[in-house]
Amino acid sequence: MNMTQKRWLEIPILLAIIWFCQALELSIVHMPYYLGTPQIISLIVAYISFSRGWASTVLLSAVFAFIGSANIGYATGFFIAAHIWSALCTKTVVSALTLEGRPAFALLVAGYNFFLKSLTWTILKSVDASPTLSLFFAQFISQTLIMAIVAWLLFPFFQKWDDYFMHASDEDNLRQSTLLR
Amino acid sequence: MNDELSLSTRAPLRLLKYNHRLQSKALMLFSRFFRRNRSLLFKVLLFLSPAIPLLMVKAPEMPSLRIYDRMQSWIVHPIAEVFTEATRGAAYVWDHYFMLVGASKENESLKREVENLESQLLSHEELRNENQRLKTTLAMPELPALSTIAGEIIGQDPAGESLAFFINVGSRHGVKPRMPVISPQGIVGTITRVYSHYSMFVAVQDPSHAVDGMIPRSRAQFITEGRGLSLTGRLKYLDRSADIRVGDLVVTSGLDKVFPKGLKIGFIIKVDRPRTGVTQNAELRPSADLSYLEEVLVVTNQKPVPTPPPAEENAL
Repeated sequence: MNMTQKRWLEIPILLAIIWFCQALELSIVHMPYYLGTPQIISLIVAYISFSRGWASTVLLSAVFAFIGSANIGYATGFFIAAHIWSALCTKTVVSALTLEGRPAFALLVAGYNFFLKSLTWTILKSVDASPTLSLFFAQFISQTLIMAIVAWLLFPFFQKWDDYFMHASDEDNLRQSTLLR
Repeated sequence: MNDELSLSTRAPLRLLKYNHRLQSKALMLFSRFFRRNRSLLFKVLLFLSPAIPLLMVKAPEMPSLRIYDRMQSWIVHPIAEVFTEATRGAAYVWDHYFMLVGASKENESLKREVENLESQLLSHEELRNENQRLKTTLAMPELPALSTIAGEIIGQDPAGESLAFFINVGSRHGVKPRMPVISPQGIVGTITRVYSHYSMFVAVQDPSHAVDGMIPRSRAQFITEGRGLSLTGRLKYLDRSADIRVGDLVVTSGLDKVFPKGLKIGFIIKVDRPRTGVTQNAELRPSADLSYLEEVLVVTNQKPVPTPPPAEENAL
């Protein structure tokens, strides 16, 4: 299979995986006491900020947040903005520290979840629609733990995906052509 | 004369030259600053970019459905429905075939409960008849019988920040945004998004949800607002002099034009009268328990029923 064929194949495969995971998130993968669900979109966006450049991080996080926003009860714009900001905050951490490997990615996903939860709560608070602080902390702790474990488990899969679709070479080309080198 | 002229023109010319030199110097400084800090400026721009989706939010409106939402609804919701049905089926098999230990004891206690409820029903029947007689005597209009569509809950919002649920009835079945969702226990929520075969409702316990309520005993009126965790609600704008007690039943007042009047919201669980201020605080526990809800009813007749003229009836 050549590169062009792979590119055309990647999008439908990715969408199918996301939709299948979203169906699971909606129906059965729920934590008790309304503590939420670990979301595939958060994992993907965290991985993007871990492995891609600044421009790609913003663009791809916006696209994936848009895909994830269809099942959210509050305003779509809040959800997308929170994801892009969280991705940028995570990217800042990644560029400041030298992070590599599985444990680093798990920690980074935990950090991403912290940014996402805090930003979402703040944005929702501004329109008087935020949950109570106790719920925020309960959701934050439970989701961060589970997301970190899932991230640790899925890290090799993400890496294999990147290798198969040769995203590393794309990223190098993009870095050379954009303002950020 | 010429010298005078040349003196008068030379000064503005010099000023112009100075201005030009200043402008080109400023331009040079700016371009140097941009060249040196372009990476930083680009990052600043990136950090400002999420403001675009934030500014696009129109708070009071219902979230509009995009093409992607509809497309996703065709794929994700049916799969989610299959998963939910499969889980419920497995739970049913487990409960009915593997957990029969103690079923006879439970049967006995349930029989006793049925007898007790039957006796209560008789007294309620008496009260209903009495109420009917009084209403006819006073020529009061009947409350409209609610026309409803039954829907099954197939999933819930995965984010956790909002208490939104998906049901398997949509625009094809007559569901529209802002329609109230109820259960035999009381009100449940309001429809926010409608797809062709599915729809989303936000529960009354959600922090963004508010219902106009009243206490039938004292006729005190207020707004009930969701609080999220612990699945309680709080009462807003509750007059300090309003007679309200723990255990009071709270029903919809019908003033919000969403929920019909007289539907059960919940029970008062806490009343707090601060030393100062003109209001008092209270908390309520909604009567519909979200944890055990599988089916809900969407109320479709929200048009006000015309009141029959009582004078004519009396004359007849």
